[in-house]
Amino acid sequence: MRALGSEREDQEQGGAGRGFGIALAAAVVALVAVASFLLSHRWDKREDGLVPPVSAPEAPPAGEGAPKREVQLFFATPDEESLAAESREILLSDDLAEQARTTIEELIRGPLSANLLATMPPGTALREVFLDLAEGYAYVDLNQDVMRNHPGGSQAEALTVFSLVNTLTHNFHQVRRVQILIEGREAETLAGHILIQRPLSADPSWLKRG
Amino acid sequence: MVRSGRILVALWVVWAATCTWGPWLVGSFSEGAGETGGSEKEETVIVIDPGHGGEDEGARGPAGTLEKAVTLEAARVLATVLQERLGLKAILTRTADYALPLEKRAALGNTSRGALFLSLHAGGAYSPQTLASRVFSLKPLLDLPADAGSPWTEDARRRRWDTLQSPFVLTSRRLAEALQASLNALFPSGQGREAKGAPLAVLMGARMPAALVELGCLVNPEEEKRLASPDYLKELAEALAGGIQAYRAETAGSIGSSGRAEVEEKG
Repeated sequence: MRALGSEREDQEQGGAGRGFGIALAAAVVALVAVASFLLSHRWDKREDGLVPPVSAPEAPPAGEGAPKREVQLFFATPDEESLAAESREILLSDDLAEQARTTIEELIRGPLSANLLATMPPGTALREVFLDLAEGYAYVDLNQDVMRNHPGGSQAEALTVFSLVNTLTHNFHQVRRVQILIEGREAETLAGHILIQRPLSADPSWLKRG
Repeated sequence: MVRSGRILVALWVVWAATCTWGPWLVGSFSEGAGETGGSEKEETVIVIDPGHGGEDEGARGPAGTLEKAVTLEAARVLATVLQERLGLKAILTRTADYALPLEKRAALGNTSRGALFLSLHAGGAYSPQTLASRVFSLKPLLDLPADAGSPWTEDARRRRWDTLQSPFVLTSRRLAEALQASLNALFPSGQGREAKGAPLAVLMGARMPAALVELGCLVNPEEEKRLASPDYLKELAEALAGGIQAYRAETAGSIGSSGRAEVEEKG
């Protein structure tokens, strides 16, 4: 039982409190809206089929004078025993994620050398790359074709996975582990063998010796 | 009031008993399931896992041969060879054409108190030229519980499951090497081929030395024909039996002893 007086005080305080509450609620709503906007842009499945343009056509200084950097891409050796590097030049963007994106796209495009084999099945496309530099994680979101068109087999699957993981960790020392996603979601395996459900670290033992 | 009080007391007694004895019961049950010690106290069980199955067809050869069918047939042949040649009991994780989740395969092996786990495959490759068998053991490259700071959260059960194979990584490596050496003798092109380590999902939950064998490459037309022949499967099975025998002879006196330095290095 409370005294009448204190109840009135409560009401008066409640008026001030309500104002604060509304402000707080508005702030929370705004936060949620911003967060969900960001998240949806990052992770949502694009059901409208609007796959983001594969080579984000910024209008960067694409001329000869544009700064470039060399990256090493890892493809399969012809005997499919291991991975071997091929160098490629990419535009030196200020945005590390943009560099990673270009690197993965080059990896998907396949080797220039006739002495190497592509490790990404036909139709594979990069949907999104997200770098979590604080944790050292790279999230690489690929389309369904990397699974659907995979030839299968533990060796071929390992070469697919480690060509991607090793390429990223080799060229971007900030990346320690790579989480592969398929159509925005985690998958158990690509073809039934190599676990990709969680972030993988590089395995240098797949690199060709000597 | 009195009645509900009694029920509460009864419930408390049951709860307390479960807390006290439950872990012991569960512990004593699961204890031994992973025992693979050198003693021959019971029949040695080899767990054979025919890869893929059901809607998961695995790889497909140019003439339409399916990996899931090859692995099942190969598993049956291997079971017979192990029984006849080495007197070992073999059990199959899959006995017909149906889907079986990867972690269920290891679980079936664990509950059968298997001594060794062999997952059989005959997968694809990028080019049809690739020949010869390949053997793998588990090489864990995933975030394990030590990485507590990772943003990757998952339930503890799943984590524990993924570490069941951890104590066997070295012995599994030796098993894979023995199997690979034995299979290499069948292939002139495979001479000197070494067993490999990879984060193979099907091996992670096995509480015993475990290896995955890619018997051959189905996308090669020649190999596809061979893998469909019972005689060839028998040849492969005998090579695997030889590898198992070599592994058992090698580890018989030294279970738990430290792996050779080179094994350590390769792992």
